[in-house]
Amino acid sequence: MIAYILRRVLQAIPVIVITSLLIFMMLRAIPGDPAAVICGPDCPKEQLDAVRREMGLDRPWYTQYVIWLWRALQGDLGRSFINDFPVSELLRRTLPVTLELTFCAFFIAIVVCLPVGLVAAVKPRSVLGVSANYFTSLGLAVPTFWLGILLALFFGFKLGLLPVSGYKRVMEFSPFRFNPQNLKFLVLPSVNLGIGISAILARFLKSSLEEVLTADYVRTARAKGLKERVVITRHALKNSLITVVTVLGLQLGAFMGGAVVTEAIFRIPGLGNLFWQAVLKRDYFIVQGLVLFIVISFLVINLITDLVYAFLDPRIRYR
Amino acid sequence: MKLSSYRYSWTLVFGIMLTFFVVWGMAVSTVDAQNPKQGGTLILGASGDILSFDAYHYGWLNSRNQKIVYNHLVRYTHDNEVQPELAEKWDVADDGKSIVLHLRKGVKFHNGREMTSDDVAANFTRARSKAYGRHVYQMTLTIDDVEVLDKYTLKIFYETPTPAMFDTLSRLAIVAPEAFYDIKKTAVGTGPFRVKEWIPGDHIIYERNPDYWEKGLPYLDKIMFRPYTDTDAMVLALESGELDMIEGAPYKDVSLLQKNFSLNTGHPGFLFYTLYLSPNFEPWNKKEARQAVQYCLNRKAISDAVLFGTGEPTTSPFPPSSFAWQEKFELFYSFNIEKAKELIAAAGYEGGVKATVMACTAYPELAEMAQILKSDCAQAGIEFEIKNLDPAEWYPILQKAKYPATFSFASMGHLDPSQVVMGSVYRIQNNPLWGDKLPKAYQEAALKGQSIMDREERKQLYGKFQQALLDESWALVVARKSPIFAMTKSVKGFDTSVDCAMLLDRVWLDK
Repeated sequence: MIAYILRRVLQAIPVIVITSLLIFMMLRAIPGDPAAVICGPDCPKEQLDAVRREMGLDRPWYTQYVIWLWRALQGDLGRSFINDFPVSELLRRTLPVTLELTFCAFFIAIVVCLPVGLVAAVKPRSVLGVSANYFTSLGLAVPTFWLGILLALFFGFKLGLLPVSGYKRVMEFSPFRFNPQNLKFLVLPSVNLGIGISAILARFLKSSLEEVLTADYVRTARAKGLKERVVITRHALKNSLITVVTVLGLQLGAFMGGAVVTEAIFRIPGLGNLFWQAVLKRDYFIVQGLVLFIVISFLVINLITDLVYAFLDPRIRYR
Repeated sequence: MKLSSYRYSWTLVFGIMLTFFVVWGMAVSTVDAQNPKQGGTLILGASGDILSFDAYHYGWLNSRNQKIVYNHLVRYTHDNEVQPELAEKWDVADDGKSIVLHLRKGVKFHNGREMTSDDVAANFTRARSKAYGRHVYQMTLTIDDVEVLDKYTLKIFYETPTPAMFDTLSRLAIVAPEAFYDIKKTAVGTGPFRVKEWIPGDHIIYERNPDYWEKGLPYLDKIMFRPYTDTDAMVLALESGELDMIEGAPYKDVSLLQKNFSLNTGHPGFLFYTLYLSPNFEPWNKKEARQAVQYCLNRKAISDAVLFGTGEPTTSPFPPSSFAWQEKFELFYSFNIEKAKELIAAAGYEGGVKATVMACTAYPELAEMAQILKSDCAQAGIEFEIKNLDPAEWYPILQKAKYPATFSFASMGHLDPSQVVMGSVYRIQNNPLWGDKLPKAYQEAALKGQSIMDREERKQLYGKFQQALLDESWALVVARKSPIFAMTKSVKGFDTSVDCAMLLDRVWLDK
């Protein structure tokens, strides 16, 4: 197992380097100029050239890349062209926000998807089963931005139960502090995100469980006289979770880039908002730093997902 | 039945006391309404975050926040009168080629150090640098030298008579030179508030500057600035009481906000929407084709449908408050499809012509204007295709003038009219659209207008300038642009500068 993990880590290195080079080149190839954003639309050419020189953008792209990579390997991801904040500091500020939002969203997703997927698979023709199917269809069809505005309008504005926007940290680490009163800021955004994810997970759980329930060992368990509840929870569910875990891992990796729409509607200062603003303004170092972070996150999450498989299915062993 | 004298006396006494208390109560409430209350935190939502605290950068939202932390040497009133700010008084030479500034004594930067003329001179040096001058650089081109005479006096020399010198002085914020190295992240100015904390994308906390040179100001203890990327969410936050005030409210929400909130639309004429037609692309290389667009551009429809009546349609780059404004140029071209058809035919396109017009997605109203243009000009035989670009893509195209046509906006016509040529397409030298082929009548009027001091003569010249601009029609003015500030009724004392920067030093909260 250790050897497997080490092998995966070594395999990740070329992936990270190639991705960083690709994103570097792509950023410089797409139309748009960060110097133009700083200088302004009415900026004369000689002034624009001076700004580009100051930003180091007059150097050849390969020189810029080598300088950036060398510094990144030493932990220096550069500074924002626009506001001069170190990229690592911006990441350090926004990552916990995204983690909190993602954790809450996934908590809601799992809490919702398990019963919904179970009922849809086990009692498809019952009222509950039909409702569960409708729920998953709606959850997949409803756009996040529309649902978000509705949630804010109804629960925030009309009923006044929850804040319509804003964010305050729930967990702080230096010093350590747990602020449960700030969970109210995460309720609506988490529901907004969680509904969509739960619909996806419930669908996968339903189809996976339907397949597993027709397996021989499940028939044997029933033939032995075990209660249906025991058959499902102790025998069928664990195996059907492999697909769900895979999708969960992919979704988690995707959310490491932040949830742009939800963050915009609820004014959450997370990675998604940072990413979007950086792309809009061609703040190259922020985009490069974020992409690097997302790639590494994906690789780590995929590794953890593979390890979870081994836990769920004893037949899976890594060497 | 007559009251007994005893009862009559008591009734009279009671009546007098009642009257006294009513009048006293009214007086107290009136006095309270006029006397600002000290203290409190203003929670302000904005349609985006500032780019940085660079005082010389006027782009995005930077300009609207300038006056919170910085002061300038002079300020303009809404009647275009110059008033002292960091410069207490001044002496302008008769030939308009120099000015002596006498600085206010005892003004402190946010780091506690007193501002002197060396600091102001250092700011001029930075403003005149191409790499660091940003938006102020263009306004310093005629400055020849800045000489420090003593601790609170300095003299600015100009290469040519510069009637617009006060415009520069009103736009050059004074920053502590020791903070230049970190000017993007920190704001060390002399303004009524200082920056306590900035978390990009989340908030800025401004706290009261206890050493502010205007005694008694500001009234507020703090300002919490919250940027929103979604303006609908921002309006919702105002309506649900999470915010006291918003800036940059969408035009479509003006009628909704007017019901329960106070609105302010800034200084009229600071900005105007424009449509640029490049003579380097067909069919805009023909003057008749450009004039045809003047007639098929429905300014009234744009003002009503896109701006919801907040910006009046106009063909003049100068607002009525400017001495260069003339009524005959206010709506020089009317909406007339038949006239547009005649002109496009005269340009050699009887069968119609296709063209592209660009708009920037950061300003949704530009795309909406393009839609209206497309729909109306199609009737005249001009088929526009709309191309929407994000700011980082649009700005370089604007700078290099690589567009056939684009909607945009411009400013600087609201103060000295010579400043309108700061905008690239109006430039009289190195014009990105015309190069060295700038129409002579336009160039001559603008060149002379910016270098003489006599106001009457300048007014005549700017009449010729506008006539030439309207005749050649490469920079069409569409409508005036007003930023929308909305606030709860408890927010008092709000105003903007002539550059639509928020003036929060006199804001107080009646709650």
